[in-house]
Amino acid sequence: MPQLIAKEYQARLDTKNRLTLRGVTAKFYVVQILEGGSIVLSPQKLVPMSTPISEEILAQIGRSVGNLKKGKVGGPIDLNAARKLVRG
Amino acid sequence: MTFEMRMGLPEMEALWTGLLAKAQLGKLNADEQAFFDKWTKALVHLSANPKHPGLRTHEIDELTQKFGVKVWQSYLENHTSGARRMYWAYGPEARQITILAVESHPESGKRKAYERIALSAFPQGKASDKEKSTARVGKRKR
Repeated sequence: MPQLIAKEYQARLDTKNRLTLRGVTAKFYVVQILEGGSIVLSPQKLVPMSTPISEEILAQIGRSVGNLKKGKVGGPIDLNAARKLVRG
Repeated sequence: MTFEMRMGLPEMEALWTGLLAKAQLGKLNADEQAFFDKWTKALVHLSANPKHPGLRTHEIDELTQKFGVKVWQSYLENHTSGARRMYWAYGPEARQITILAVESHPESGKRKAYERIALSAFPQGKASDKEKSTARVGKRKR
């Protein structure tokens, strides 16, 4: 269904390639850059995850990803030693 | 071809080395032994084949979107309600896997309120008052 234009204005990128959005209704968007150069912002909202994860685990993942991106993860673990100690 | 396994956090590495040391001394209690056995088996499978059927590995799109790297989830146990899970990512180098987090207790995945991070299409014409603020593309650094 075609949507009506509620507001139109001209904007220019600032020195850091940012645009200010005026009168928006959402905090999150999916950004689609079309071949012709147009950009479509589709508003999104936060919803519960399909797989619940505790805040504690989420924080762990966040810190681990930070370390991974910096290449600062631990050394290789010794699985051979461990597998000999597994029971059952 | 196997993957080299690494821990993403010092405390997780400490948990692993602590369990391994206690296992070598035969001093793991029943809960620790059960966790050590399951975690080790899962890590061995993951190292050999991340898509091993027993791991039920799948990507968590919401976490991938949130953190900007592909985040995978694998199970430590099968046929168990509330099974413990671990989260991992490929890297930092080729043929390496980094463990991002592990649920060391069966209930730890359910503790506290669930984090709401997934994004879905916004219902037409509906937005919360909180979201009716001016948004910017990119963050301003001062």
